[in-house]
Amino acid sequence: MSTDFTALLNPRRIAVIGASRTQRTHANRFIRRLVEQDYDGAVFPVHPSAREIEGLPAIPSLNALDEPVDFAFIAVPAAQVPDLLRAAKGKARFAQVMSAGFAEAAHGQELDADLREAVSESGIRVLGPNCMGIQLPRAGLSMTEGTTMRPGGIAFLSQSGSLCLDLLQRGEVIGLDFNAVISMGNCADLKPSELAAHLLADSKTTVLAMYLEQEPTGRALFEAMRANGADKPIVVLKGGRSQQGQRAAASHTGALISDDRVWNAMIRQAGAVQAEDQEDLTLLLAGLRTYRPPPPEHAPNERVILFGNGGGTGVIAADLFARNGLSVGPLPARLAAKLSALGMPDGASVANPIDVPAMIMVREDGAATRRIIANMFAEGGGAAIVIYLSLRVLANYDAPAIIATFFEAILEARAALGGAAPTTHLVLRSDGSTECETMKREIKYRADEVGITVLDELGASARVLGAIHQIERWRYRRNQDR
Amino acid sequence: MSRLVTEAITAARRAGHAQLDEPTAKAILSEHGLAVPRGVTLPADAVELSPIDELNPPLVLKIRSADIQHKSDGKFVVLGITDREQLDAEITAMRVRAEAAGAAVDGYLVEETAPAGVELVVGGLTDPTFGPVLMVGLGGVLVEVLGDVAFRLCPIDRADAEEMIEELAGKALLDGPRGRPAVDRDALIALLLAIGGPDGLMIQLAGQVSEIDLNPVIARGETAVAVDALMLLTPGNAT
Repeated sequence: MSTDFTALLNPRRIAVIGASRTQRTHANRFIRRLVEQDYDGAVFPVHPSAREIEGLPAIPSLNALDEPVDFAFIAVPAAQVPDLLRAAKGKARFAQVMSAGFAEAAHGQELDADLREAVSESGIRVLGPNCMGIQLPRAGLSMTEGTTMRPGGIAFLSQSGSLCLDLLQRGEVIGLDFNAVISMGNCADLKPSELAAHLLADSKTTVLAMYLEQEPTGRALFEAMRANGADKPIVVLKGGRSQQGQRAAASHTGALISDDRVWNAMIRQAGAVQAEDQEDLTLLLAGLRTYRPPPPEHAPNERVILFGNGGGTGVIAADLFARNGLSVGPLPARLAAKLSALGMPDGASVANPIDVPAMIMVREDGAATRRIIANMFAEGGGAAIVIYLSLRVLANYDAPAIIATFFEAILEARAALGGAAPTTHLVLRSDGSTECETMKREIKYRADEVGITVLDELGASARVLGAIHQIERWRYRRNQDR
Repeated sequence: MSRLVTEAITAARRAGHAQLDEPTAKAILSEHGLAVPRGVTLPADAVELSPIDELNPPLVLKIRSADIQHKSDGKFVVLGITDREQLDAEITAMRVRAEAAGAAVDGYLVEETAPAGVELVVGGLTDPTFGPVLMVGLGGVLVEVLGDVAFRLCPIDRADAEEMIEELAGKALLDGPRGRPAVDRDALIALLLAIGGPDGLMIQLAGQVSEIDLNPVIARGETAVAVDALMLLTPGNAT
């Protein structure tokens, strides 16, 4: 079934079913948020007797409408949902069924079958049931209060509503921005494969993430992911990986296959990145939200140039990057020559990592640091650049000012390269004190605007650059074999 | 699908078999351009042994029985046979073992011994969600112990095949360590494509054959010989 999802992802007419005259139900809160977020389409609260709900004129049923709505928000007791859908035939394009009590419930199988029938009879495409709905920052729809409404490029499809809320709430704090977050619930009708294909084709999407437990249309999902050709990064977090459904095995192949192995294969084969857990998913989204892969004919670059303060930190970082398939090898010859010519004092090392103690870093308003940064970008040969600063140590000097100076130097060096600036990570290592966290946040807001990724630790940087390298290698190899 | 394949599948189904017998599976592989050992089939009575004179010893004797899937588990494969007398004695002994195991003997397969090399497994399987899936693994008959395997969905392309091989923990064995023979990567990639590629057997036989097990495949230089081959018929498909 092919569907035009425009009405779902930018609904101009919304009906809300399940709001109360007196109580503060999910549906009431949904209407309030639409109003608060200046939703500029039409909202129709549906109520059998009320003339007004949340200050908006109510209609007795969807049949009172001349034109169908794009989106119907349904939060009524589960048993009423199938007949409600049947009665709404021709009056709604999409519906979100928030109600629970279908296939996921002990006695919900019969109701689930009835729901599926009602979906096909009504022709309404349904999200859910048992889902949190949809967050569309541009259109002004949200799942709950206190979640980010910053419009951006992240699209997230999830078979768990709580993961949607976690990501949106965490995103509010760490600066993630979203095109669409869709809680898919039981997937009785709409499947991840359909929405993934649409969201990947949507020019507003820069990265697609999915949390999946089971996907009956897994093959179609694979085709949609593979067709993307890793043009947009895809991150998949698969739940239920340790549940090894034992298969009847008459062959060696049959004895060795498992759902986990097949999913791993599918994700790799599609050029996607597999997240290990929610924390990893969030990190990958933070690191990939502004990433655009180079054309596939570009040979993947595994080289990383590190610069920062803290000798042991740099040594450990080299190990972390190696573990993620990257190389902290010798500096390019021209860069090495230019850094040597700076005549750094004893205690500073101009190999890779370029390790400069804080005391030397801050000298003369950070003059040497600024020169190192300028040279790293100018002569880095396209290697990813990771600058790590121990904020606590720098805080002993005039930290906020000196870090701002370093940041300006990075911006200037990147600007000098025009559009060809390499992937840049700024790892601001904090001791968790309010002082350090505040410094970090101020730089982070500015960095987010210009496509520089700020991370907490070098392990996070290695993970993100490893994922980027994996994506670029996948693209390059397929381009070579064509 | 060639007539050989269609007829073999029809005959196996009519006989109520869940799988194709080994000579048939190997004939299909051979027709598809894959290397299998040279061999002859003998009937269950095995009175006339002269067909083996065309084969170069040492030879391998295998039982043909629809009741036995893993032949090496019950001594239904005997290696190192050098002449007719030894073959005759081994056939008699194998017939006794089959009777003891309650397995009906359809006949015997006598083959040349594949030269030593790296033992691999190449398999295909039909996943309920994702359809045909290809597997490559190291270790031959020990593959289940090692678990050093990589999967991809069919059809695979060349890049997928390269990545499957790179995913194997023991892939350095293919480079010929300690004076062992190396395995040509292109030959191995060609084998993976022949089973799991766009024109591969998993796609060509989809709906008829649900699983393919080539175990072991003995690879050396540019050759990769499927020493044993199992093809399971798609259940409940009577066409």
